[in-house]
Amino acid sequence: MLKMSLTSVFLGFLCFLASANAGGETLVLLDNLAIRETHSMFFKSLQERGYTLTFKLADDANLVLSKYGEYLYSHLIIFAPSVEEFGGALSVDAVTEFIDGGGNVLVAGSSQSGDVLRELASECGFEVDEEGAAVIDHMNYDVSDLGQHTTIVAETENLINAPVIIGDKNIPPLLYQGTGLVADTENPLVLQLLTASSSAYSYNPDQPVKEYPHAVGKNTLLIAALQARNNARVLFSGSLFFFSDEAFTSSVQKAQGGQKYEKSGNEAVAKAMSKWVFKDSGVIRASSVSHKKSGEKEPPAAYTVMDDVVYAITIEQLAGDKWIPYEADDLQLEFVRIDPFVRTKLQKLDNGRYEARFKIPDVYGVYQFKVDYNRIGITHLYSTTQVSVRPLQHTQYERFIPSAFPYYVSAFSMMGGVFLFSFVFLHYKEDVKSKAE
Amino acid sequence: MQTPMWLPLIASTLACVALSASVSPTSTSSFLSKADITRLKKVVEPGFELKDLATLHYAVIGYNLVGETIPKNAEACKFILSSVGDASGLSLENLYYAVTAWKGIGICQPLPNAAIIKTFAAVVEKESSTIPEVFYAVTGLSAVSQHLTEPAIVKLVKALQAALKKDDSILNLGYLFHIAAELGPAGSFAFERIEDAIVQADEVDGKYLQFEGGLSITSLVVKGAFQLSTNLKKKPPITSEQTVKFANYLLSRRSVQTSKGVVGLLAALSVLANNPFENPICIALADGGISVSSKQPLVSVKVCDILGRSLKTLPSVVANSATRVSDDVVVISKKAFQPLASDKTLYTMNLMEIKPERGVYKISVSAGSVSNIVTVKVLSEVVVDYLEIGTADADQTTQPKLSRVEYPKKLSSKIEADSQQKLVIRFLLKDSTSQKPIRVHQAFVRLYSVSNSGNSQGQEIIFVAEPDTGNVYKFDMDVGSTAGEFGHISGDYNIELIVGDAVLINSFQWNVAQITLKLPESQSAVQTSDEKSNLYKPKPEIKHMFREPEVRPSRVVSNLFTGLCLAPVLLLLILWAKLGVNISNFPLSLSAVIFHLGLGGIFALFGVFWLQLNMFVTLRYLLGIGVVTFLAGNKLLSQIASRKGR
Amino acid sequence: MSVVAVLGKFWQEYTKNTPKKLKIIDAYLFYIFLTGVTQFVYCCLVGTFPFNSFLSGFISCVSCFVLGVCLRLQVNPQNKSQFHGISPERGFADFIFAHIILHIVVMNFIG
Repeated sequence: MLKMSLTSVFLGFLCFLASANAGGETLVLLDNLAIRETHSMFFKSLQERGYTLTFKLADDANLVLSKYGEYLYSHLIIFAPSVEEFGGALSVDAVTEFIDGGGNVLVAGSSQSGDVLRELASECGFEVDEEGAAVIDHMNYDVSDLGQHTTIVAETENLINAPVIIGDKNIPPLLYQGTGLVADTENPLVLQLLTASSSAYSYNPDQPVKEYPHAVGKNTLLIAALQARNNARVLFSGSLFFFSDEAFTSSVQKAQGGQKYEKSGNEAVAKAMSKWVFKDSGVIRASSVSHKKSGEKEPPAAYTVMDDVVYAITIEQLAGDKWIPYEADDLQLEFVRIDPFVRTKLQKLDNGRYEARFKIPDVYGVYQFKVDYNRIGITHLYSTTQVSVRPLQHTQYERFIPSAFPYYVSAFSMMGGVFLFSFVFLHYKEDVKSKAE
Repeated sequence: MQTPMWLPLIASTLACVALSASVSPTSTSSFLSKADITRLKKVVEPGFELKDLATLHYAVIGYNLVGETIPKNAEACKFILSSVGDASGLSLENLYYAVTAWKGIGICQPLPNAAIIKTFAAVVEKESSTIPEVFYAVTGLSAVSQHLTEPAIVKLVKALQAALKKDDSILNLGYLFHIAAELGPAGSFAFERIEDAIVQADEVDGKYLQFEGGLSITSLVVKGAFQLSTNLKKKPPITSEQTVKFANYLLSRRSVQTSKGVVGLLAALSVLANNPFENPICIALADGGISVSSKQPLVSVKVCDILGRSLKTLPSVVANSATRVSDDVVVISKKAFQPLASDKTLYTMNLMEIKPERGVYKISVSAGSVSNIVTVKVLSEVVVDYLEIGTADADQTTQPKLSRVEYPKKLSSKIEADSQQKLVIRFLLKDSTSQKPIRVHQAFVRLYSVSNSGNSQGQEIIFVAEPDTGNVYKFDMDVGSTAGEFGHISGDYNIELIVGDAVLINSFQWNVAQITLKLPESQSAVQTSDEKSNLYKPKPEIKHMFREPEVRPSRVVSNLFTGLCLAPVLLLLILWAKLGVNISNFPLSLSAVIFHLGLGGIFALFGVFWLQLNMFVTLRYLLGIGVVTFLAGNKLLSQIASRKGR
Repeated sequence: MSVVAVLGKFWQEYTKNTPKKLKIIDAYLFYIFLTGVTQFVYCCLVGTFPFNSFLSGFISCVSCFVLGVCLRLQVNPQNKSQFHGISPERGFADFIFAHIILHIVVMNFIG
């Protein structure tokens, strides 16, 4: 946490522009410069949001991502499906390092994806189908299809249920033309943003289906994303066409009948996704954390078992270059000593403030207040505050318990007994005895 | 209403582009359609909101280029005149925009020409002017019909040549061609530079030629080069192939979104279409013409110029050859297309006359001297000849029990299968016209769970049916060994047959039957997927279980026993009384009193300690009282001892 | 013969031959014993809940009983030979001292 915030402060210092958060230096790698123009609407929308785009050919011999250990760019767009090898100092390793260093990457492939992209994808937990393979859907292809049923109409209901990534789902269908992806099922960080319909499959349209296709039905991923553990985001689309001006402006109609939409939903989704992947949306932070005993003002040095405690956290999300309160109702607080002892809902107060009240368990030890908020499309919020919980002091136990009265009385009776006994024992006069003798 | 038209058109033209890479075509595969023009018009239209001169300039020029009348021209004129004022307050560029827009509208009140000419002439004469500045000035001058004098031209040419030596970037060359085109015969110095400029163009994918910098520069250079050549009446050093590639590039940029780009695109395309040297021709499939079937047997191609107009001399259009893509068999050679009477740009040919097999065909079409390759699909209709479905023992000891299902009905009874059995489907697909068995690209069997709840949500498993040598599709699914793919979830599944192919008219999804699968239980837990989906969900709440408070007796019982515990004291007193205790030996000495008081004090202290004091304070007091008591006790006891001894 | 007869005989012997002082101590011990038993019964009835209290209360009784028995042994004239040189007064002083220690511990622990 600390390290991250330190680096962000440092980065913020580096880009001393006021809009340090919004936008940022972005390197765009292209197959050819024509892509810059065929995808001008997408790039323009990025520039309007404050990104500085640097266009380079993907095999440019002078490509560098970092200089003197500092990354020159905070985002990377690879719109170079057919590149076989990156130029300059760029390689798959360099890109994965860039991701490890917190950089965000947007990659678009096509049915002619080169090996570099395939390798990069598998680093991120996706598999790209073989070269030449395309997603085919004989039931849901667009009227504009070129004959191979590879320009497919992707229903918006196949988009992931995460408005923070894909925006509003209630938009016209999407046009897609490209290769199919498969997610590594073992990788829980992979998000399946857009899947194909049941009748789709990914195969080379010119070859008869001899083997089981790489991807079939709903397993065919069209757009996949990954939010790494360091919150770096990677978005991988099997279709470069998806982001093109043509796809943005085309009308959509399924060839096998269906409603005609004047404009595809591509633009809306592409914009929302680019917002997400470049951390314009879904970025949250905990701006303040406080805890105290109920009814007190300051946190104690240590809590005692069974204290009533109040924990409050303020969570903010990034909007443009401002932090605004983050609203959610599924935040949870854990009180952890190796295992969570208490997990409770954080109640929303106002202005992004959340509060939880609970009674500290009757087990002493070193605990952590832990908010581990991991939701689809939102940066991972992980905040821990360590506190110690000590047992009751000997003066803090319950006293004068009614059910112990017999024991108290007995103890005092014993003292009284000794007191009386001392008189009798010391000063007893044995006159009776002498008479008897 | 125009939008539906251009969509399939773009599709078809792109199809040609995509498939014609092998033989470099000598025609373009697309043209600027009406729908494109409408869209481009929309891009420049905001210029008529009269916000600034530049956008108005682009709007006016754009409308002129597409032959559209300019709306609200009176307001536009007023805006131009008021913006220009006395021409002194405007930058060169804005003055250029104003003057050209004024010229473009054509019916405005006169501008303060003298002042404008002075401004422009000053720029032309100034030696330090950059080439773009000179361009603005020269074009502006020609817009107000002012021609440069001979000496001025000579001087300007020298200045330009000097400027070029400093910076002969492609942008400057582009402007240079435009300036030279305005200079008449004196501009021929620039003609030699055309070749220099053209060689700098980059070829993309073997079909586009463009300059680095994209549409604006490409259109500037192409337009300038052709305009200059036209004015000099010399054929430009640009081959027809290059022209086609430039046209291809420009046409590929039809989706341009800036008004400047639109004007550049339109101007360059119209120059290409209208120049006297090279006019690229477009050969493309007509709207929606990609599919050919027995119902729609005609292949229709559109032969036109790049602006979509019919050619001046109608060429004879011939299909040189038609080749099936799958096996390279040539099915047609030298067959003429028939011109369509209703539309001079359309030519048709009946491909189905030769009864081609279904498939993708490449037709090489030539129109006069140019040729192109178009791709069409011959479609057919598929029928399900029969389909049998049933179960068999996995070890194949018994004959499978199969029942037939008619397309598109669903098997009335439910099929049941357990892990010892396998699901068997056999089906044959036929071409509806030729009645021959056919193979299709997609013949999948999809099983998906009927219930949409719980664990099985969205569960779908797809298998590929494989044809045998007789083209009968077979599908065997061993229930036991595929249990893992079903996630070991038993239950009802729908069986759906998906048949699809690019060359089928009627690709279909057919819900064949319902099956109840009894799958073996899985050994390993299926929790991994659950864990994955739960990663992003709230976790279940945990409440700490506090230790139960001890059961406490009722007050009555405690009090009773408190009494009982005190009772022995009474007993003690009674017993002692019976024994006849006395303290008659009590010596009336100070030490005795102090000892007993001290002892009592110590016990009282303990009582207070129990009530409120802590150990340290108690010990301090105890020390004091203890010492006194000890001394007194010592004395008392020795007294008693000595008394006894006596 | 019977247990009753034996007990009767024992009681007669006791009342006859035991010095009065020892009888006083015995009465004292009996009182302690009863208090302890009552506590024990109470504890068995209602559970050990304030366990520390029970321990202190009960141990207080047990210890007092033990100390009482010790005192009785030292005071008993029949044992004079065994405790040669230790006078009953010395024994009593030890007895009181032990009680003070005992009760401070008990008070500390009783809660």
